[in-house]
Amino acid sequence: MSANRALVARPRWLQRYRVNWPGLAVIAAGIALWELYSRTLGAHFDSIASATQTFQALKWLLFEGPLLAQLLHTLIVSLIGWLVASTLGFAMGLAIGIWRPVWMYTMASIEVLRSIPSISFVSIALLIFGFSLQTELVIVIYVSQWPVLLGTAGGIRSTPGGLLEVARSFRLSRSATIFKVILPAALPNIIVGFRLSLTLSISLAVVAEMVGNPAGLGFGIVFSQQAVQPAQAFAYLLVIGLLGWGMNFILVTVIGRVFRGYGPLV
Amino acid sequence: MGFGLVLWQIFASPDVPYFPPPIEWLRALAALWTSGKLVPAVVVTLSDFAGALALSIVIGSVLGILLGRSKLLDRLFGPALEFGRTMPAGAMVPVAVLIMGYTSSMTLAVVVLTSFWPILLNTRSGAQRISQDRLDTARVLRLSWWETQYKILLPSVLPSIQLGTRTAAPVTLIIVLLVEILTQVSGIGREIAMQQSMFRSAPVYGLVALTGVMGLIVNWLISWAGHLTRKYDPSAANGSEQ
Amino acid sequence: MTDSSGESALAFRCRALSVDLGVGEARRRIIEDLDLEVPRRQFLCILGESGVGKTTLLRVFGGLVDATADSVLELNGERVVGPPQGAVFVFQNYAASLLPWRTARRNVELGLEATTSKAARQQRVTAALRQVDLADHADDYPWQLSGGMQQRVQLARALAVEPDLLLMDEPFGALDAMTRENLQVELRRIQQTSGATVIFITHDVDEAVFLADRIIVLKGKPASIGIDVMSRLPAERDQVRTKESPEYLELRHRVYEAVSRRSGGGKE
Repeated sequence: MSANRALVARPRWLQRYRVNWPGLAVIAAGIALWELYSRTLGAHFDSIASATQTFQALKWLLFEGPLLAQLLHTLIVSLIGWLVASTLGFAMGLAIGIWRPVWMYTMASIEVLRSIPSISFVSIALLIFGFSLQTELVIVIYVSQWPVLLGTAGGIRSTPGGLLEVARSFRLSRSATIFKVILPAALPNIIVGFRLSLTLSISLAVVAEMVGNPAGLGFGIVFSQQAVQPAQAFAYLLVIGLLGWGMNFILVTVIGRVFRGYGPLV
Repeated sequence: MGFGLVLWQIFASPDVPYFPPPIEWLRALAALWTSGKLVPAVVVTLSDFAGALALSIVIGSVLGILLGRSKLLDRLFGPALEFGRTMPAGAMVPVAVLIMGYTSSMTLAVVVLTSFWPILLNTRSGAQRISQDRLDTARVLRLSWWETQYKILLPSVLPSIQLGTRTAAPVTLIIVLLVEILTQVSGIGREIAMQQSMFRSAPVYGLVALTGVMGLIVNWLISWAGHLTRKYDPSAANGSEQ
Repeated sequence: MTDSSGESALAFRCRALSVDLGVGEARRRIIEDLDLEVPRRQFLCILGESGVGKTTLLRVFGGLVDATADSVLELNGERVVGPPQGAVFVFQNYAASLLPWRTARRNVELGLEATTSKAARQQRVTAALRQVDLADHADDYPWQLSGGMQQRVQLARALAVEPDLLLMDEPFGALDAMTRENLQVELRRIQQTSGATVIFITHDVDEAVFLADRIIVLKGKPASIGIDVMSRLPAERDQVRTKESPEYLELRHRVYEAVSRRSGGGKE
């Protein structure tokens, strides 16, 4: 029955640390193809940098150029933004999820607000705060609090009825029910919110740097595009991709360690 | 929400440029309409959105089925996909502009590369979860390979595709607007960016509200489409309502 | 557990118990005018076809569902309003009732955390786990355990609070036949040693006859008591010998007839 399916799915988290060599080989082959293409068919396009050119540009940017400082800027802004957004989103999600009246009065507004494409707020933030760090932080925080808010509120409200009955049968107090049953049950949803939020905060930090705050990796990539330096633009793209992937990887690993007991749930 | 807007209208002072009252938004939108800028911008944004979403659905579901049904392919492309899916869309725009110029195929490429992920991932897990019994049924009934694909496999993953599309549609709209704001070539995103660079706050708020209405309509359309598949597989569509 | 008024004292009593479920137009009487007295330490099985309202009745006993206003429902002489002190539920769906993020030990602790000190708690948890033969799996998570083991964790969790009344809702219904028979023997043994009163819901006649000191068959719509029989089986039960004894066969025959008779739903 359903218990069997859980047993089959279980070992996945154990496999997390196994290195997927064929998969890495595909990436290596992709890089080789890219190099081959840019040296042969693509050679007459000025706008395409080869893999080696990109790595050279990366080396230059890293040791002589502004890359390290920009990386640090983006990293710090997105981390701070993520932490603030997670705290805010969690607090609001908790209030909405636990108190029925709050849910009833806010849900319509939330439904409308989150339908407004988050990116539109970039312009409003720019209008109010101008080209500044504030703009960047406001954008990052506003956009990346949504997944945590929705994950927390939704997770709390979808606590399995069976668990709530157990809490009632054992006469758990209201606070014990919240801390021992409802929040742990909502945790997988909340964690998904944290992950989405982290990805968004990096993404939005880069966007904000492209249009609203001349600093960080986003500014770097726009600058190299406007200076028609494809190798540098490619290098920035690579770094931004690695940043997003790396942060996500770290978060997933930490979550896997901390919430080991959830096993197949997280 | 409506209450908040009314309060805003009453208390917003026309002298402070940052928070224009909602009536001003509508006036600004009307002015844009009569100047003939609004309609073409909406058309461009909507058609880019529709095209990109359609392409994302096709690419995402085909790749998702392939990866979900073949362990080998999944293993081969797993790490590359893992990397690709965390790539921020904004960062791709400058590189795409370098390679393809300020063209609508560039917009399409960036948008599709960002928004097909939810469809791919949902379809992949849907295809992985098809019960062996259902596939064995096809073998017992001696269905041909082709019949198995479109009578068993496709209907089985359809709810997953729909679920992925639900997530992907708002993302698609966001990325279309993002590309328009970044490149300032056409569409509503361009209008927003232009008005903002001229510090005209009322049109900015009006256009943002307009994108909100578009977002709402997209959400409604998607949940309406959801009923179509929920009819025959009520369990499948409930997974990620939030 | 509470007072020592002797073996024959009443644990549980209901009089003129009626239950309505549903809202508005769909509101329907599920159980009508039910009188029941359960002495302390009795193992009572309630049998009935699916849909007759057994589970609803048990949920009313456990304070999870309200009865009509004029119903009387008492545990140890106190009116039941909400889940009463001293009564604990064991649910059929073990997977949905164990906290998946807690180990077996921590699951068993759940009911004790507000009332007992840490040291006393550890002792009682260990004892409860030993009672259900799970001492070796105390630190496993539910998803690492088989269905039968998970249900035993739930049983241990209920036993740990040393309840006067165990309310069990088809607890073995989702288990395979072998596991179920083993657990039946264990449950019977545990009930004998712990002295808890048990009200056990099932739709399996053999299970009821094997386990019970007393069997009630629910019939009709709305449901009421069809037959109410005492078992003459010895206190100690065994899957082979008990089931071969003439008393067992006779009781089984009687209960089977009561369950399967297609009477229109009146009382007999």
